[in-house]
Amino acid sequence: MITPAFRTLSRLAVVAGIGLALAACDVGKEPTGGQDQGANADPQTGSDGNLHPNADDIGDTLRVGLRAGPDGFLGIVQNSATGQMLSSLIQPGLVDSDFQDGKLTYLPLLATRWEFSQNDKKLTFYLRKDVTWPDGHPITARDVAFTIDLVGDPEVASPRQSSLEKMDHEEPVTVLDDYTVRFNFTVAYNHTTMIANAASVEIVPEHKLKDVPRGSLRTHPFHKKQPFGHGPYTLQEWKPKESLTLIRNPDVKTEPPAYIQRILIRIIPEYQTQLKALQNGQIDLMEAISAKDIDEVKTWPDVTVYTKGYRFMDYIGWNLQNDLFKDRDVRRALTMAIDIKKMIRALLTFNGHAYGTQAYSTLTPELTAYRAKAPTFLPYDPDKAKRILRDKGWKPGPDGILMKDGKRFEFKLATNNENPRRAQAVVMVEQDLKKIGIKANIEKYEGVKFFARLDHKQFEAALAGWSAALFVDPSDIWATPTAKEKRPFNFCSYSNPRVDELISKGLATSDPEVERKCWIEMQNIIYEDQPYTFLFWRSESFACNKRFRGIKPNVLTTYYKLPKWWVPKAEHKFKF
Amino acid sequence: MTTFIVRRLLIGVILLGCVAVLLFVLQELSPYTAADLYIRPDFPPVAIDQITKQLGLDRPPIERFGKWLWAACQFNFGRSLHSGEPVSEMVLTALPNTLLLSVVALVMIFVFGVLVGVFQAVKQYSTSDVGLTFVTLFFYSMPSFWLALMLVMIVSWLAGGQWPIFGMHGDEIQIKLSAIQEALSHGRAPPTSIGFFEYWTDVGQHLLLPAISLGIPPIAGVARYARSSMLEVVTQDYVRTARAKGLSNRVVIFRHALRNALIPVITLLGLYLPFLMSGAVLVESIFGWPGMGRLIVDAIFTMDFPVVMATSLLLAVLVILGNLVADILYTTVDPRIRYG
Repeated sequence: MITPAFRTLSRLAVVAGIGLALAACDVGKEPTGGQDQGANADPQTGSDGNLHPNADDIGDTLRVGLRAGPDGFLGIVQNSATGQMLSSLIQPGLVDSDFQDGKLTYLPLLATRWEFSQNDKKLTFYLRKDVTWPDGHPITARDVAFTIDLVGDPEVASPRQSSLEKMDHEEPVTVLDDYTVRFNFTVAYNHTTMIANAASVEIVPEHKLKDVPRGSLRTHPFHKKQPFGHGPYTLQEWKPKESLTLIRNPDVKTEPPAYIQRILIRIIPEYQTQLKALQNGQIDLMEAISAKDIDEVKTWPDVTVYTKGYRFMDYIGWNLQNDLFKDRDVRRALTMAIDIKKMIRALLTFNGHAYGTQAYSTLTPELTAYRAKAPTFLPYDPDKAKRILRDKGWKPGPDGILMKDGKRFEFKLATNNENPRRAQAVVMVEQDLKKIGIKANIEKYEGVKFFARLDHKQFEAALAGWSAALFVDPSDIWATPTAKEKRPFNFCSYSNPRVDELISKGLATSDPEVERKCWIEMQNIIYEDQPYTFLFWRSESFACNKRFRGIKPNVLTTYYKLPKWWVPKAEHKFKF
Repeated sequence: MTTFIVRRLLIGVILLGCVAVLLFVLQELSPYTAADLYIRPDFPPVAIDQITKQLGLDRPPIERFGKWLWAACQFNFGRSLHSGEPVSEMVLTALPNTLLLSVVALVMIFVFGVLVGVFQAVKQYSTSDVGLTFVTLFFYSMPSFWLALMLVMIVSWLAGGQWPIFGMHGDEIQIKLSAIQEALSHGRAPPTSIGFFEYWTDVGQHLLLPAISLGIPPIAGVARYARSSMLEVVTQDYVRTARAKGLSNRVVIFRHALRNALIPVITLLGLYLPFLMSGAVLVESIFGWPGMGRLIVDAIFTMDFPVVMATSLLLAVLVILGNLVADILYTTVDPRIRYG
């Protein structure tokens, strides 16, 4: 029924609609926030011929699209990659990490220098004396000791506590004076790993947290709303599931202040929406561009695509407790039946560009020091695979499926269902195995449940993946579980005494050459044993608006040296 | 009527209790817990055990449920197992955003659904009627998330990338707010300002595409209801009388027939609100709208028991209230209906 009220509302709705449409004409107009004041803002050309920023170039906003936000900001308890990235900007640790020439190295940050004792079991850090917390309290060695104490406290349940495993449990850290702190190890090993274990966690303020119940750190405002840091950026606002704003800290002491005034992180769960937003210029940076989209993104005029190295690998893990997979030769036959090169062509190669490489081990090929020269991959040879299986007693049954002693060669091949690449890979594996008479029944699980099943060893075979660390510690995946060391990531129940020896030796030496030989031999043995069918490493690409300069892709992180990124003043999109 | 409402509310409370027990039992049937989220190569297993204790997941189920129920009766839904935030805060932050989206979508569904249905009834079997049937069923059979993705593509292309496709606020507003906040925190005069109209226009622009994605598919359902109901009403004697009196078609339809034709449509009103709240799940994810839908989905995937319980109970409350509102509206629209 048309009432006067209804008429009024209708007219208001029309007016509002016109208003919205007209206002849309203003959206996206640039630049915003006032006119260019005409300052002479030309960046300087350095002696290397490249453009370098100057003080006038400070400003602008980097808008980042992410699919999920952080779970918090306190490095000792936070649990997400995004959180770790943000923590490193807000609350940097003792050292800054770098990865160059195939090696992980460390640079001074809160610590100006460090040294190992003669027996390599003690690592002493010398701190800067001019860095303070935002309330003016100096950052001292006591804060470092307090942080390590929290990490090791079971009540805190820190994910970083495994970094203290090789430290003296009674006294992992000794405060020598206000600005000198020593880490006490029980065994000497690779120096890079020792520094990683000692110095990678972000330091927290003792004077602010010493009276906080340790079990409640995960709900403390420092973790949730008001991180307390001294880094190049500070947190201005966090709206969970919506956005997060970081503001440049001009008073940072541990490194030169950043150039970009503001980082605005927008949470956009849907990949396609993120991609469209990047194309529209509604965000400046997008991580994890899918390989199939890279060539298209490269055609966009305002965007540059950067490719980092290999950090992620996919593999098929065979549960060695299952009778089908106990025999090494059978596993090798399974690998020979799978066309891995075809998989790389189908899933990771687009327009002639390959965004993946065949995997040989769980050590990333980026660690060039530990890369076996010209690794010999098992060939794709289904006929040979059939012969091997026949020699092992597997003969085709009435339906063509191999049988032995009345048992069919049939198993469940599990994977997680959120990953389209693995969804395709698992079908390709199923088809390849079918050709040699093996039946793989595909099962897909939601991510958390899939990894829980792996953890509880409730699987027969699984197509999964690893994200590689840039320092080497293969014990959790490849060492034999004992009563003391559970090795929960040895999902496949792999055990090889020689590999155990090599891992112990490699982790206990500080001699780089001895270590290198251990890891190379270890990789060769594991590849021969084939507890996994190693599929491929894939590279990751991200894209950023062209106005941002100083971006150097590095396998460490998308945000490598973010404080050094800059935008020439004349190109600033946001003037505030 | 008061007795009726009180009786329905009391039944609602019992229903909520049953829903809570059912949800808890379903959660317990899962062999996995929120602590399993932490299973990762760089997360030591001993810490997983410690977190299990910290979250209270090692306590007997009956103890956990009892504690939760007692606290829930005092409107304290605990803390998220995943983020540690108070659940009530999370819900109070997300709920208004989803209500805004749902109400706008609801208005769209009913206004356009009724208008289309009435038009089709008046022009029964005409080309317009057939055409509208085709169009409305086309959109009715379209999943809202697919429509959302198509809108993102099409609008981006049509508007040259100028129309917002995600979030609740634009960068301009966020950056201005940030600049104002930063200046004030340093005791400086803000470099800019944001007007009321500017702010709400920005929200409106961000709201439009999600509301269309959520609102358009159900329009066909409402239109079909309205059409068949209107066709039944226009054959009634009183409508024939109204026409015989010489009243215009518009007056006959909108003043005499529509009110009675709306009765079955009003049934849907109460049911659509919880439907929209839960249906917003996918649309909110695609548009990055920070509402209840995303909260629910994230909670389910992270086995965040307190958040799942709170949000599911909230949906149950909305279903109960929605049905109650529909029944009360019945009596408003049709004076013949009275409840004892």
